[in-house]
Amino acid sequence: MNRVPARRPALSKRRRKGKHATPPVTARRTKAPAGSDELKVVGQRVPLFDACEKVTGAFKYASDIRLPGMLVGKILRSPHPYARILAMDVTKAQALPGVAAVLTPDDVPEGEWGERSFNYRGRVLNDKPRFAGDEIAAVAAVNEHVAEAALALIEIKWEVLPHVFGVMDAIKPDAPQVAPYGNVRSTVVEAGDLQKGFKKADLVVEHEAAMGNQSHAPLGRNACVVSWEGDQMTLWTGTQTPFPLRDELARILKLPQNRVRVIGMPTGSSNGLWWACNFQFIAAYLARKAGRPVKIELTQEEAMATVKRRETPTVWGKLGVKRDGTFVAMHVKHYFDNGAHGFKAYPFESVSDLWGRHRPAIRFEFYGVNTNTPNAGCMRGVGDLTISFCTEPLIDKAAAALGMDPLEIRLKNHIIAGDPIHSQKNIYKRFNVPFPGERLTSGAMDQCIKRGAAAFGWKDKWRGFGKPTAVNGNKVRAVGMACACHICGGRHLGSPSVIVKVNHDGSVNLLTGVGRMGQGVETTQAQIAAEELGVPLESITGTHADSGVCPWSPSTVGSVNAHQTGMVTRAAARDAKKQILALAGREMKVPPRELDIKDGWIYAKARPKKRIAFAEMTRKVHPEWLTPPYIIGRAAGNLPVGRIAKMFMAHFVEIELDVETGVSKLLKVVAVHDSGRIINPAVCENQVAGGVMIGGGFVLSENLVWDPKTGRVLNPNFADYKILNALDAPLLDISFAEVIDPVGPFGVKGIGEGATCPTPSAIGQAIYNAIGVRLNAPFTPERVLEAIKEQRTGGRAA
Amino acid sequence: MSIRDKFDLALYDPQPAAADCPQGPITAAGGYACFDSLPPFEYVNAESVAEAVTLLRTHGAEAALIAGGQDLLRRLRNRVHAASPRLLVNIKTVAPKLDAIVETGDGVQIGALATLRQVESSSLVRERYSLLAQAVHAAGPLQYRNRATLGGDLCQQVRCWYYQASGNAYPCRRKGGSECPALEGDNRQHAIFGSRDCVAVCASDTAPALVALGASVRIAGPGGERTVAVEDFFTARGNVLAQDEMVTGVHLPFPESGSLGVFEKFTQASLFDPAVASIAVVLRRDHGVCGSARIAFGAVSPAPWRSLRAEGKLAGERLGAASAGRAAEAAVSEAWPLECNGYKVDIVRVLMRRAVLALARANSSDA
Repeated sequence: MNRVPARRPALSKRRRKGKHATPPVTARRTKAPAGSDELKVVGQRVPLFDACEKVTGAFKYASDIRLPGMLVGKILRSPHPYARILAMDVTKAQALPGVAAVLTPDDVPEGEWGERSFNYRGRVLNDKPRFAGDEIAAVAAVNEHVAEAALALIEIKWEVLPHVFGVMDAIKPDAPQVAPYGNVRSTVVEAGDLQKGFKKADLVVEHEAAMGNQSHAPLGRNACVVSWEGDQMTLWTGTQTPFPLRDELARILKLPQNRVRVIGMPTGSSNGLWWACNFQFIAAYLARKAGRPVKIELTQEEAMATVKRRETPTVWGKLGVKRDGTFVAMHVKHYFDNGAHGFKAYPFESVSDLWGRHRPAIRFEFYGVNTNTPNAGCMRGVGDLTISFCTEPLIDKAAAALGMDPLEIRLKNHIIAGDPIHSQKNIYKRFNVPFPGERLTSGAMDQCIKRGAAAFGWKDKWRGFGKPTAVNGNKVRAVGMACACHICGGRHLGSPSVIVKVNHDGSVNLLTGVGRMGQGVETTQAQIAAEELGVPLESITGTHADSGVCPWSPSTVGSVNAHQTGMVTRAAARDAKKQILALAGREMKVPPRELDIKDGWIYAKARPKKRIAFAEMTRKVHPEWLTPPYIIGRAAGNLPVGRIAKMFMAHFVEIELDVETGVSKLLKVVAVHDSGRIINPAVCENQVAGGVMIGGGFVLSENLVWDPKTGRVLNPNFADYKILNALDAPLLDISFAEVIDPVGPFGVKGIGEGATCPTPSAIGQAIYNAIGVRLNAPFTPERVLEAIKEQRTGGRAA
Repeated sequence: MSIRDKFDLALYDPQPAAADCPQGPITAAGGYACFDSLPPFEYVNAESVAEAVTLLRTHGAEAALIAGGQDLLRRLRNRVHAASPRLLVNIKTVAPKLDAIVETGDGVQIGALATLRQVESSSLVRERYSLLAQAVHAAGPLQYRNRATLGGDLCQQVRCWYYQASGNAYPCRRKGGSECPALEGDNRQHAIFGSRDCVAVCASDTAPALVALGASVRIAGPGGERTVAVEDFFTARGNVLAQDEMVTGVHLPFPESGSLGVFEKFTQASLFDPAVASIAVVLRRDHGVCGSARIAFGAVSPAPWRSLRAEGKLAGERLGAASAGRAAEAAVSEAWPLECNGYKVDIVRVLMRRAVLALARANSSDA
């Protein structure tokens, strides 16, 4: 299924510099990092492998899978936010002609599924559903008409239970307990003595921030197709986490892992939504009961209202600062709504360490809280987006009080390579492994800030905190900036493994277990393998995410692939290269260590004219095997102990706010990212552009709403749930501070998740500068207008 | 069999058509289900208006008309109603086709089946009724305007998220129930003017424009045709159409000489979102002074909201900042916002003021 398009445009010989092809995105590649001239494939702006198939509609998603004899599965959900099923009568549904199976809570294990990297704990079908939309039964039938008719025939007697919707209500000891293990889970990240830290401070500021509900708003629905052959199962679904899904299915189905084959299909947009999701587990049980393949395809409403959403945060923070702007103490309490089945205590707390240059005492507390609302969990930028939405205004308050510029105070306090990282501590604690101490591998926050400010024209536009850049009648222009950082995978996610097969004709198969979510991983991993192996990119074809074929990989989460998986892909390619050079050494009568491969040629480093074509070498009959050699390069491994990479970014935004209507328009965004060396600028620019739209949408227009009484989501569609679309896109200026990371393959770090993180805070600062009031997100026109009115009345009263 | 064979062969079971499938109740009794298929129905191509009306009469509530289908099909798929029509009467096939846009002695006649795209592209409309062209353009993206018809736009259901909830989750007053879940619920989208019986707002962007233009709707029924002013077409829970009636066209009177018009739709995000509020104003301007004015707001009440108070305040006034402010205050003086939609009052005020200022500046041209 990972076919390479018939015609893939050849690599451009010279690197295209400067402007990107499609305005309004400006992409800068200001300075190629050292050593770039040596690289042939990494760093090139090559088109995505699957671009042709995607734009022609030939690309296959899970929804496109059809099997002979396949049934359609549909899910029945709870209409109540919290209730117990007293009796469920499925006889009428079962008797309906065309119904093959009805699955009820009695057909699934008592135990809950949920693995450590998942945001979910729950039974496959719940007899005590925890939110309006929770799965309680399912039907498999010959087609959707029959399946839907059968759902309507299931009769249920309910005992409705008292529910709790708000995080702060659910924390109270007498609140309804949503999950059997209690509503609250917590984690603390700390270093130094907080009390002493605050004593050293000349100034202490506080801030409390809250944000709305963001939906992953998938542009494509997802499906799951399951087929059983005896006690062996094959499952097709769009997923970021093919192997952890396989492992969890095997655990709960009590099957050996080799008898569960998960074929991870590309997702539409995922942004953290399509991991292991409950409908996949329902499909597995339903197909087994029906004795025929079953396909469950979620509707748009199900995809938006019942799978997952971003955790809703409430964040309080306190910062102690010296007169010169040095941070001495930072205390943050981050409450987040896990919804009904979310199960998290820590949301990737990288920002806890971001301002640690002068070793302030830090204490970051995280409270994940279950409520009777739709499941919540990771969404792109998880944790660091929401933490920084409090810490950035906190820093601004301090800067304003000290008379500092927002850039100056940040430049003074951000971490640099070699600084200690505390945020992973609790993960080691969770696994009872002693914390080895960790230090940052590389960091160019300073370059992100400085280059961004220059490209944006910050000096000309900044007028001071709470001051607009320009006022023209009812239109106010203002600017804002913010910083963030995020992880690039992590050791705790697991060790990726990769296979590089070199065929007799010199072509190469690359096998990885990564999830395909439109992030271009098929292309960028191939670029890494091609670079290491010294062959043209065109000779590599990938197969990914098929657990029956590919080696194990961690979940594709936390921007893991470029940095962590890439390191292993490079090692696997290096392993293949070693084997080829050993054969070539014998053939060429040159010690292998004196050979190298480049552009498809194996050559002697000292005498480059002594060479043999890569494909000629692989085609030669091996004197002992009497066939050409078969070369399998392989590697499994993890990041080094004690060193950890983070990506850094600074976003600068300009908005225009209409003080009569409260509407803010995002005019311009300058984004500078340190993601180490950039494997493929086109891919990374798209990552950043998408991240800005998601981050901007979160604070400007998006908000998932549920009815205050029934808890049912009211806007599970794109008419009522408003994402920023192409017409709302700002002018984008994207560039990269390419600092070469000492751990990542060719110096690469991650990019995808972090792209969303600074935009909301930068817009928040701009709104403050426009109207002089700090607001919680979303900055909906009504909220902005209300603030303007209140300020005016307040002003008059004073 | 290899996975690849399975994938490519795609052997299907013979699938029964929806109509042949056993039928249960239309919505789930004990649970909440999201539907993905259209419920079964028969489909008839009506050859004449008379035939369509006869079918409506014969089948009563079991029958529904379909033209562009932009509103109806979504409601059917989502099982928005307790019962679903068994018969869809396609009126795109009636002869003569109901999509003509022609000049008559006293105005312009637009067939109910003219697509929104046809309306906005018509030179008759663009030259004489530019505010209608603007309203039609704002109704939705091009693909939508290519399908949706003017008659359908007027007859479309409200987009209240309680009314439109899948599986008929809230059998509200508009559906014949006794409760309005929006009154106590999240009512940020809902009405600030008019009756509180049902607080869903009229979703049509063209309706306020047609009201301001003094347009009327032509309705065919068993007893022949009747004409109703667009202003009187909408009722607290729907419209004046009887079960066996259909809209056949819209009649626009010629604008009085010296008439100016403006239409403005305010959305939170991009233009094609549902309106927070919209405004259509047609007035006569004589040396900077307003003669008579017709002012209608959209998306603020179950019907297009004609603001007689604002009209009264403007009549005889010099168009400018002062009269704009007075008209704006008059426009909102009748508003009774609910808990979550006070913002709409602010927007109505802004729209009114901006409309007057735009008309004060406008070069004299047609409405």
